[in-house]
Amino acid sequence: MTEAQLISGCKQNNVLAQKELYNLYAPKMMGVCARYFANRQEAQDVLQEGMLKLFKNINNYAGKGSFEGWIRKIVINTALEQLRKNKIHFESADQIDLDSNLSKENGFQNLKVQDLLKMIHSLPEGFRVVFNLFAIEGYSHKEIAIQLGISEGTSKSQLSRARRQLQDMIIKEKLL
Amino acid sequence: MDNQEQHMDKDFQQAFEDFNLDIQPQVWEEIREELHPRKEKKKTLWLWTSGIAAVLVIGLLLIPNSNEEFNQVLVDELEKDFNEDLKEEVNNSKDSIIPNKKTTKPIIKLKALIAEQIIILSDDITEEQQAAIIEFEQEAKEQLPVIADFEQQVIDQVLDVHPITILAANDVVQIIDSNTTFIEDSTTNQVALQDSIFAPKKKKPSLTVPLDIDFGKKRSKWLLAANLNSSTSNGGSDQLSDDQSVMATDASDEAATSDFTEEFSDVNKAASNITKSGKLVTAMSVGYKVQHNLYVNAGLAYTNQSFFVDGQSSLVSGIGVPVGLRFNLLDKNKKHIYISGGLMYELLLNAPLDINQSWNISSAIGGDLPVWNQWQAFIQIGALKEIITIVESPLSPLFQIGLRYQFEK
Repeated sequence: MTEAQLISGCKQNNVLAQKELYNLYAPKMMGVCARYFANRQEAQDVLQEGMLKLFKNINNYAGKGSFEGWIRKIVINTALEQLRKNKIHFESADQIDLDSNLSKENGFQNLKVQDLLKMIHSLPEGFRVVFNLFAIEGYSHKEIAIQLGISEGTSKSQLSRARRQLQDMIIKEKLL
Repeated sequence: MDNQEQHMDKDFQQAFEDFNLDIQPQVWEEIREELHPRKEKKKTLWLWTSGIAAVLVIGLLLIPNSNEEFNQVLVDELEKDFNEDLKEEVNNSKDSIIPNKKTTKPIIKLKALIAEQIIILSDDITEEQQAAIIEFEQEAKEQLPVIADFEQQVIDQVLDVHPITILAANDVVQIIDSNTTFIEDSTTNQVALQDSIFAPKKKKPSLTVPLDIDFGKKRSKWLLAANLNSSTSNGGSDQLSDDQSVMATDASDEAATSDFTEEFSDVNKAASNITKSGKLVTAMSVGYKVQHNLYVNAGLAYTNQSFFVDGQSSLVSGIGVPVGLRFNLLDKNKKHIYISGGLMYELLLNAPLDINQSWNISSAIGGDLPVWNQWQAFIQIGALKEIITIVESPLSPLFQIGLRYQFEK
């Protein structure tokens, strides 16, 4: 069954099409959720909520743009809603050394994705969310600021510190 | 943003581009249930489960509070039926007592021996029947190795039938084991037996249930009886009534030299005063989701219970195999509140007396929470009734903790 046929089946509330679509995208979306939540159960709950929203609102998908991108956006928005409910703690800007520069040594081609995930999980929640949104999802600081209800400056400082900590962890991992 | 930062971001993007993770099957199940709710089935299931749970709880609560007078009438009626059936069996032709089928023969013969003993006591036996009895006994001796197991099984059942029947059952064993004749050996005890068997009003109240068992061509009515003693505090007890104890003492006095009397004294002593505490069960089980919110559970349990025999306590451990149903009343964030009910076969590891196994029926309310992957920790409290055991007990409190591995289609 093609993606278009699956979408059409889901719009008709066909359970087989929904199951097929779920099997196709849910594992990847679980990978997205896992970057935002260190607790696997919480990540799974967010995925469930996101996929439900997807099926309930699939009639709003006009067919413009990537379908996977549309799903991803729904799942990320669901994750951010949950994070807002959890009241993320952002460290204040004056605690952060904005002048710190990244070392030239930052390649991590040999590291496994599970190791990188562990590093992301070990970041403070504010760092982790901003890093995910900016570095991996490609949000701008302005979009992040609106989504999380923070200033652009806070977003920048969180990102800077997140990168710094990640690089330290990568170097340490490579030395081991 | 300098090149270094861009490079790092790109590396992370690439690393997570095709990153997938496995998901527990229940996620899809819950999405599907949300999108396509099975309202009708759910309602029916609720009704069924609530009905079963209600019957179970009411049954368990009612049994120990049964009206003694009612029980006594029931005992009298059923006991009368029981004796009459046994008499009728012996009065039937020899062929019907000793059927040709090899498989049923030993049991029928043993039943006949027990029946004969009771009939002899009532002085209601013909010479022809006595001859038949002696012949049965002779055959029983010859087939002793074959029927030994059957004897034990039947005697075990007889012990459940009625406390006083212990006398008859033990006497049968003694008869077969000894070289003396049946009638001579049991004469001494007949008076006591007769008084005991035909004096039902002196017995403790019991709940007695008739049960038809088909032995080959013949249908025989058996009685299952559960003694309902309310004289103990915590868990449960079984004891002979004062009247029965007096009768037993009389029997002992009259037949001081007989093995039978010694056996009876032992039984009397053993069963004189046993109480039990509530049961603590630690379990490891597997749960399988069969329908929305309905699970089948099975597992392995370790039990602990205190027995008090004549005032002395001993901690008795057991290994149990519980099987049951669980219905979630509340399901929120993978945490559940549920009701459950089921059966557990239990083998006691250091049993007092010779009681080393029993069946338990229980009903409980409990809760669980996820601990790791599909493992859940659970805790539940409820009530438990031991069935098919010598030491009958009223409801006991049940406290259960454990781990459960949850899986589904």
